[in-house]
Amino acid sequence: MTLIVALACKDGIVMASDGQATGGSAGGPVRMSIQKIFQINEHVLFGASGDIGTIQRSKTIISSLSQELNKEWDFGLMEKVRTSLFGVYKNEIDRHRAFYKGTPQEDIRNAPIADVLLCNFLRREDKQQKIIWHIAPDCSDEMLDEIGYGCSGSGDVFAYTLLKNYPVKELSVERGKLVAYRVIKEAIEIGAYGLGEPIDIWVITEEGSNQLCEEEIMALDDTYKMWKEMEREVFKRIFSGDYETI
Amino acid sequence: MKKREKRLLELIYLPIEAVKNMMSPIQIMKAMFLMKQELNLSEFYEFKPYLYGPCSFDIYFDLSDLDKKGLIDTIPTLQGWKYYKITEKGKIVAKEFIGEEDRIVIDKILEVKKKVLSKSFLELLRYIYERYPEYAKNSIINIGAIK
Repeated sequence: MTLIVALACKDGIVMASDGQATGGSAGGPVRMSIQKIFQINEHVLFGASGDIGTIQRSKTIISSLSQELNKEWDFGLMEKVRTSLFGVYKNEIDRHRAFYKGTPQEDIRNAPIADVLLCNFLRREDKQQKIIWHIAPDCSDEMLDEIGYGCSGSGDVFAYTLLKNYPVKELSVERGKLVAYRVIKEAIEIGAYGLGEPIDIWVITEEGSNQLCEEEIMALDDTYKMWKEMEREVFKRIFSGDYETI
Repeated sequence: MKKREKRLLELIYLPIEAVKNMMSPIQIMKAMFLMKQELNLSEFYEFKPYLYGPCSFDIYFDLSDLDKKGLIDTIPTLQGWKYYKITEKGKIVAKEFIGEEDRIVIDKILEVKKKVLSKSFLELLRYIYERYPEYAKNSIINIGAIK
């Protein structure tokens, strides 16, 4: 299981993911730490859920377009990305069908897939582009920046449940980091099978994209606990009827 | 070990009478911040206004380092906080540092530790935010709204 979220904040984009992958071994499934968000260039981040091999091929294709993606995105460029990915995914499905023909595994729902989130934040002179682009395994796509957030991975239901409570588009990147941390942390804590630490967070702002250091993640963890501490305090007062002291 | 990290270890080690000798990261952060403000120490942590008030990411780095060296240990709590406490090895090292430390600094460590540990979570935030509002400007908590 994977969970990746992307938040379109006021002054940039925050992307966060859990850090666990489930891989196969002769003895059964094994857990391992893995990075799920990658920098394509100064303004573009890539995250994907699905099968590791298909994700890697998707990343390779998108990285090969890194220079073009560093400019303003237009329809032609986005179609180029989509068409390139479609070639890979279709090939995977064809290969899967050919290999498993006549067996119960033939169903394409068992084929290796990738579900991609590609984020772009670009501000040059008076122009600004803020995009959260979701490319599904069948290469249908949607722009999620209008909603304010996008999710990928089988843990996405946890994220949608939590994110609907927050006015993401009104948040600064600094606060967006905290919301993203909370969403991933709580999805892990709820005990969704296959989600795990370490939590990885990246941001794209006017200054470019960067990954948060370990110390900042520790600081976010403490802020998250403080936030919960305050919620407990408010909850206690509401349920004791002591509204006026809040 | 840098002087600032030695002082961090001293803070975690120095016992306060009748109080359990362990500190949450927020208590440590606020205690180190008060030391910086009240003693004007050189070679010390730089603080910035963060989501929970004054914060120095370097303190997290040094806490991890002290933990890796086996000088401090962490205790999980039901509320999710991770408290830091000194280890037996840490006590020996901290005592050595204290032997070389300025008396004014030791007294200040004891004073701020006592102050920080005597306050509830909300009282501690209020104390810091009211005295140093410039460090509260990015806080997610509007302490004035909570009576």
